Amino acid sequence: MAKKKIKITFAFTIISGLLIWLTLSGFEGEMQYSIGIKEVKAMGEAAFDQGLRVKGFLVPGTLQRSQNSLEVNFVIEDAGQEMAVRYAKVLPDTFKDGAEVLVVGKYQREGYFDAQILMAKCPSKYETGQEYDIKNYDPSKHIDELEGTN
Amino acid sequence: MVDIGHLMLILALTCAGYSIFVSIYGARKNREDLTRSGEHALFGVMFLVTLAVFTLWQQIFAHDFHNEYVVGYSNRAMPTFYTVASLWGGQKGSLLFWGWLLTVFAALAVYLNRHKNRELMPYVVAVLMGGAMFFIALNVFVSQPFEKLWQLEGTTQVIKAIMQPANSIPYAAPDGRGLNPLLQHPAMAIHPPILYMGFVGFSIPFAFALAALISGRLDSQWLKTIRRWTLVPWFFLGIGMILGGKWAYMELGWGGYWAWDPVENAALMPWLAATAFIHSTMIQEKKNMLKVWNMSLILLTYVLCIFGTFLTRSGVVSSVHSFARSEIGPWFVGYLVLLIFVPVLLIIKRLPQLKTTQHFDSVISRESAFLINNLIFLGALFAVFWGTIFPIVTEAIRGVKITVAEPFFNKVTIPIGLFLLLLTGVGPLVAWRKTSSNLMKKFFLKPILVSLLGLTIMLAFGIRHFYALVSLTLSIFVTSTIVAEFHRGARARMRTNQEGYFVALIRLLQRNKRRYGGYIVHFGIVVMFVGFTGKAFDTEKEAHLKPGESMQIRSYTLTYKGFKTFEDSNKVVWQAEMDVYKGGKMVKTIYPNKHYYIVQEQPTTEVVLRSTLLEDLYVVLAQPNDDKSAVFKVYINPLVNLVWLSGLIITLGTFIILLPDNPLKSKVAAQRAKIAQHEIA
Repeated sequence: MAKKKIKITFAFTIISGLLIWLTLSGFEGEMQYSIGIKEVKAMGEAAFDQGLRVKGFLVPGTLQRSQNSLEVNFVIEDAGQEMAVRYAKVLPDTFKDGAEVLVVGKYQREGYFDAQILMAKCPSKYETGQEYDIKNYDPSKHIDELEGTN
Repeated sequence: MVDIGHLMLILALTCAGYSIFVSIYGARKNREDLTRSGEHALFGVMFLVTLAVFTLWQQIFAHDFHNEYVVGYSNRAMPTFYTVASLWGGQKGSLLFWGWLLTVFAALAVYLNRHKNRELMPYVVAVLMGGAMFFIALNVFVSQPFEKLWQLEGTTQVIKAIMQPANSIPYAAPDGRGLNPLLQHPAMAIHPPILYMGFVGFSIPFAFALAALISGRLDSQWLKTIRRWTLVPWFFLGIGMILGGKWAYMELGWGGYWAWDPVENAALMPWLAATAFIHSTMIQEKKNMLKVWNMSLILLTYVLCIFGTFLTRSGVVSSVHSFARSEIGPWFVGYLVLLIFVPVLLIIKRLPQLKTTQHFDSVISRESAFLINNLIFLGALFAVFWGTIFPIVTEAIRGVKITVAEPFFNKVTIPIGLFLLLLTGVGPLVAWRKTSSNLMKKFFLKPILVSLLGLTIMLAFGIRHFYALVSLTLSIFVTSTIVAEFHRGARARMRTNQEGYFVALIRLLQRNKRRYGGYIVHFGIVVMFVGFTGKAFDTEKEAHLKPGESMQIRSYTLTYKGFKTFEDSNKVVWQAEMDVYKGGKMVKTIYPNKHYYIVQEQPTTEVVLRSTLLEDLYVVLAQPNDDKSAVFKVYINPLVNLVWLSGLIITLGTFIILLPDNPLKSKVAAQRAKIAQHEIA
């Protein structure tokens, strides 16, 4: 009985060990550092061979599409710092001026960010944390409707 | 005047508090009148929350744009079908919806147990009402779906508040902002409620487990009661994930259906824990082992449900489709701490009663196969968990957020998944206790031969992708073990009952719903894995085409004929036309679209498919140009349809398992099982 118990415990320990090793070794080479635009520029040489996640807002008017490919170039801005980004896949539908953009990829020696993944959150949509945007409405025009829903 | 809906929620909160108090007090003092009163209060809570939900729905349908939530998530132009979905389209409404589902499930559970489990029920009621109080309190104090808009007198400033502020008049917006067009898709309209039924449904087994711990009634009665209550949310969670995948595939236009996004992981984690639980309960039922383990698993499942919701709602991890950062984060942390500490303390307290007398007999036995299954499921859970919270951990420890994305998850979960696939074939066949090598040979020889034959054929066809070969070979192996099981069972019935083959197959399924329904679910999982494996053979291509030009991808030729532009009341549409040729023969004309929703100022990509069981041709109109040329992105995704199909097979299998047993027959079966157990012992 005791021998069996040892055997079983041994088998389970090996399996658990393998699983933990598999997970921990999986992290290697797959880590992306979330940093600000300012920090990217301050990193110097180290920035070029590191997976990076950078957040910023699409600067209105900077988006340049190409006629014959998916490649787009644009500038994102955060805390007064700007960074040029190049992306060559289908843009998410939420990508538009002023959108919060998260780009994942590598910073290039030529001074632009080569994005492999791009996520965009439009400023006002799925979210509710946002305050209700009333600027679009002029209440004085809708007095009749005001009374209707009283 | 406070909104009637808000008032209902306040009453519901009070009522739930009363229910908890009288239930616990009644149970302690052995006063059935009090515990019954607690149950009645629970029905009352359900009734009140239902009224609040219908109040909100009424305001949404009446376009009552005095309500801030109605403005945020609906508008006049939306079709009715999606107007219904506005209820859960935003954070506040979805929390209300969650609370509502919880009270409905709770009422159903209490009603079905009105003559059963009398010692457990007061605590079940108390735990369920505790959960309900949490969600209702969020709606009353923090995330209020009945907040109104008020205009300060003499200004154009509009603020939101529950109560009318001084010097203000009610303000109603002319129209709402509407549900995000991306969410206006049939799969998306039903995906959240189905997923929620999964998340919320686990409250019931959680409540029974906790009640068993509190009351000390730790025999297998609670486990038997929650068998169906576990399977149903498990099923909804799984189907919810598949529907979410379908939506992403059709609506987001990046050619895939799963991206290991934190929100997706939030649903996957409890599903993994619950799957482990569903398997290991069979050991407790049959052999009365693993009591602490099972208890911990079901508690973990529920904690992960809440944790997932917390991840999605609090904005602690960045995700494509998470709700915005909001103030409900700390509330969830508090609730989570409570959810972890109370059960852990109770388990420690009850440890002596949870001790098992039985032991494992052999390394190769069904118990150990089940336990390895559990270990692997938890391993997968561990990997997904670490990958998901890694940014939070690294930020806390090193001050910099480090994220791992899709490559990490694929690297880790593919081998784990394949090992699970292998177990799907081996586990059910390894007999209880020790398996003789003769039996092993008998069960496994043919499936092994068949899968080796399959492997040879795949190699001959030039398939060299390692994981794909492993996955497909294992799929053949598992399928043949399942087919063999059905065949053996049917043959046995034919001999003993003189039935025809088909009758025998059907009866087999009828008499052993759990076992053979389980096999069908397993087969669904195999089909899903084959669908996943298609990813190894996909390809994509981008092309800039002028009208009349063609592009080539694998055996397809796509000829672009040009696009038209037109407009309707809420969107502008660019519609391209393409002829699809396969092997020189024209098979279909497709119209990939791009829409631009005017009110929401948002484009949406309308993917078109030429879909067969074998592969999808997936075409995206990425960019229409002014000169009538356009950029297309085209994907070939082999076997994707099998992923959706697997959902149907799993549904069928689960449905069979859930079918009620004929009471007379199940009594006979129980007797037989008892006798059988004696014989083994």
